[in-house]
Amino acid sequence: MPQHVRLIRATGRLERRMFLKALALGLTVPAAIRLARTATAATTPAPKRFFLFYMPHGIAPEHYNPQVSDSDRTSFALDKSNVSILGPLQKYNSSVNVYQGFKYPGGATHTGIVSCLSGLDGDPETVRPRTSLEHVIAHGLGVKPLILGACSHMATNFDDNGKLFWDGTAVEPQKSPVFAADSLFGASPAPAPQNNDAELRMDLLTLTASEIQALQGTLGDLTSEKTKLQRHLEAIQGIQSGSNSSGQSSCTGKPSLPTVEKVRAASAGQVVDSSGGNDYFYQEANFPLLMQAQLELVAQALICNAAQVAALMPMYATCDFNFSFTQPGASAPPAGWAHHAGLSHTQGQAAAGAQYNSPLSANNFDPNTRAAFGGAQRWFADQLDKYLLQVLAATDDPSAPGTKVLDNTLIYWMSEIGDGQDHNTGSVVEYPQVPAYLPLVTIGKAGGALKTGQVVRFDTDRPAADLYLSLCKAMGVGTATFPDAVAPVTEVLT
Amino acid sequence: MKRLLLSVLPVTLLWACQAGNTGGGTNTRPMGGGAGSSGAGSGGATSAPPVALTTSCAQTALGKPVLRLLNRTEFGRTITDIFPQISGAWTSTLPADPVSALGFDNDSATVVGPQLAQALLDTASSVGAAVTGNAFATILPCSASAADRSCATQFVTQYGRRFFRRALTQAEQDRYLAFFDSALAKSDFKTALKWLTVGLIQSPNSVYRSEIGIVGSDGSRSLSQLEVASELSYTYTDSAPSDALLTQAESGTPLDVTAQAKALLETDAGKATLQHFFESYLDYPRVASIERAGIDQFAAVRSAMVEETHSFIDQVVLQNHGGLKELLTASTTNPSQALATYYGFPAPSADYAQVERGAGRGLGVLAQGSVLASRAQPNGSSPTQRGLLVFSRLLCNTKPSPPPNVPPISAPAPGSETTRQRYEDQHAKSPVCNSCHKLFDPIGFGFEHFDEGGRYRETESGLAINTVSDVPKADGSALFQFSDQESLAQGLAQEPVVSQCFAAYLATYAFGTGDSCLGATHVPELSAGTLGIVDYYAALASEPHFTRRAAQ
Repeated sequence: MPQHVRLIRATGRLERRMFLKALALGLTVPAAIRLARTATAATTPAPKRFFLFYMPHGIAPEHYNPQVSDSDRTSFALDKSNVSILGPLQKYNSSVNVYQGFKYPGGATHTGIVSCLSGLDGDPETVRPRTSLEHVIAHGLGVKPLILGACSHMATNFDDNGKLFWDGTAVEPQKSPVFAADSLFGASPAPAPQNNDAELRMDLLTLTASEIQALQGTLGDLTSEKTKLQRHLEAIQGIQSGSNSSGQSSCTGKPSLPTVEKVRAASAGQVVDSSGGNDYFYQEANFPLLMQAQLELVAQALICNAAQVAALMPMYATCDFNFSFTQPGASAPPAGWAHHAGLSHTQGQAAAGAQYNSPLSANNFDPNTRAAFGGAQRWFADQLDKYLLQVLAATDDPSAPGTKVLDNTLIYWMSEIGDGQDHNTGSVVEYPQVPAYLPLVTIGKAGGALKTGQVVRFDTDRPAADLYLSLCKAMGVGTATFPDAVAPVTEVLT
Repeated sequence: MKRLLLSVLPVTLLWACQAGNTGGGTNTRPMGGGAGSSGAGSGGATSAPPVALTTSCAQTALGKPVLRLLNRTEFGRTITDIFPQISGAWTSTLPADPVSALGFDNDSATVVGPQLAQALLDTASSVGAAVTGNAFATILPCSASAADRSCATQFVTQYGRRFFRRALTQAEQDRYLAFFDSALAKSDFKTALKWLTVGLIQSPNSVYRSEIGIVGSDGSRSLSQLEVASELSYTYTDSAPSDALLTQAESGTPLDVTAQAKALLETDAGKATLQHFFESYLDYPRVASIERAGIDQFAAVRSAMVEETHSFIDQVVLQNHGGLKELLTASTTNPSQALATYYGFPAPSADYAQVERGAGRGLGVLAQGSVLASRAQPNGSSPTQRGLLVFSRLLCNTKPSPPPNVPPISAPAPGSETTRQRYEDQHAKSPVCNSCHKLFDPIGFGFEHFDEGGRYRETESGLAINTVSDVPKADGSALFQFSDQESLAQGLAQEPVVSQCFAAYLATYAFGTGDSCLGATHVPELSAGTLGIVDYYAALASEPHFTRRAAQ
């Protein structure tokens, strides 16, 4: 058993003992949970937060790469390249790292979406365990991650294009920020606690676990089916140990969530319909507001420690939402504003012999489409800044007086591929003036554990999982492992 | 092309373009997994990993014994059928089902992970609260008159049998009643019954369909009559067996599985189950979420295209009991009135009523607007994507995974170059590209009279359209030649490999696995046109695999 799993279970047992002891003392269930959590948290420093932000369909390197000199990679500009996808992060330069010279496993087109965060090569349907970065960190910290997604899989199904997050099995993000907000901070008015429900729920899980074990016992030498049940059993045990429970908000009352409330009003009580696309949460026109509400919710969840680890998947890979809203008044690119097929997949020039091999547009790509794509990706940076970074940077950390929440947070911003047209899953330098790297960026110092304000570059690609080891260490999860990781990137650790 | 790679990319162009055998035969999973699209340069909207089905079967086979997890649809219909009194009073938080490599959401390999376990508990809790709410006295009359252990026993016996799809064993009964006793001591009757309900719903005996059987003297496993009753009900209606079917199975009289299957397919639930096969097989509903920048009317009609294809299948397959030939070569379609105007078809008498497409305007399901528009570029048709549909879904070839760094297809040049010329210039003239594209682009050329919005076009911006081509085999010879979409569809309808391939997909959907040759017995009748699609699907119940399994 991996050490971090043992640690989680030990922590879970400790919390469970404390929880039961608290119940015996006559405390209410929520109070008992808080006391149990406090028992394990008392000796640890102020909590660090982690947020993973996925941006679909890569970048156009000529509109992304920071300006940096090889002699001093701590001196760089994010708002100087053409459209400057990273421009909105310029004001956080001292807290930003841009990573270059990393690769995802597999190398084949589109495998990025299912393997880029787990560092695991192979068929995601059969290879296990596949656990992605945010879940590794959450497991290490003993908390449940908040996994959100605005239109994060096709309305009709949950195929590989939406499988970014893994916890042994693929995790479908919660698409309703209203549901997520009510789960974290309570609906208004809060429902009255039911008599002994929490205890009966625990008793029932024990019954279900015993049924699974009994069924396993009837299967003889049918190994694959016994294994199937074993994974089910482990999932039930995870609920029993409390590792699937949400954190308790440390804020007084429900935080102000005006954008979430806009969604609540606009969706008028609709719920997510996973089996079809006929609800508010899949409709293209609602996407910008949904993502903004998700970001707003993540910010408050992190501030209040209602979620110590969060991740957001806005759109699935190959999603073709119309992104003309990001550049009102601009002329439509030749293939339109569809984010995947129209913008990320940049068609070459029609005119024979047309060449745009320059820092403005490498590889004979249509420069107008590339600029429009850059603008679309910059919109993600703008939203991240407006709805999350500015809020965290301006908020005193209630858990660590004298610091801002952003100081104690680590935000990892990534995409599943590098150049949107080329689908590269590693570094490619065709034209030295426009090298193509995977877009990997961190913002925040993780409580001082991360050396920031640098462009970290390796001339020979390292597994992205090496970076994940480093991020885990910065988050205090030093025992994390990833299948293809070699060693942490020590250059970024203090 | 000069490229300095900072790292050695593990996939080469040639490796990535190794496709399976065009024209049928036994194909195997290629090295490596991973999702493939139809290519960066040629656009790509789907990402099914390169997996192929076996089409050439000497005889039918037995598959593995399995515990099949109910998918979201099956779970929901089960609750609704068992507790119709609480319809609309409970909420499902089950995540969407994962889609298998072959495109279906009922893969027997699916497992319960942390998220699903939590969602099952939450959803079951919602159902439990609803059951013990306003409808409690209707669901369990004794709760109003004698809310005691005897009443709880009645509940466990009656509803446990429905959820477990068999009577509970004495040990199981005792386990649940012991839980009830304990819960009652800590709460009240209603609360205890609520959690008892949750327990029955999230029990492994409920969420998994047992297709395990008992090993016989020949080493194979025979499924019990109750297991077969469950298989019948879920395969043909996506729901739990009715009380009557359970009673029949319990009686020991062998079930007439084919007759039962036919009867179930006549129900609304049965028709919806088969419609869902086509949604997954052709992936046509995704047309509702795509953009077509150059066609102003497209956004207004794209959702109607989904309904059109649904109505077409309802008419040709379900009502008329058509076969593969009718599916591929029907001269009719079922558009809304607005869609008919968009296509230039005669107006139907009502939305989605049947109309003749007209001579030369396409045949069958491959001429449906939803199918054609969802396999196109935003600003032009795509011979690659349309060719790949036939290549993988009708000929059961392995779709090659495109390599990284594919150069982009050049932009359309209206009036100076046709799409076919553009694709031939870029794909056929490049040995690297052509090593893969020669297998499917030629098929796609047959659809060139249909634009990216699924509409017929006589010319392409004034240029003549050439749809004469062939269906290539891996050895370079032609499986057959065709002159346009209609002769392509007619040619495909006559090819045995197409029937074999289509049957393999139907069997995969029915049995939740792509294991080889599980539904081979009646393929010759499907191929000969003596068995319609509905009847072939019903006949899968008579396959040995339906009632027996290999030892493991």
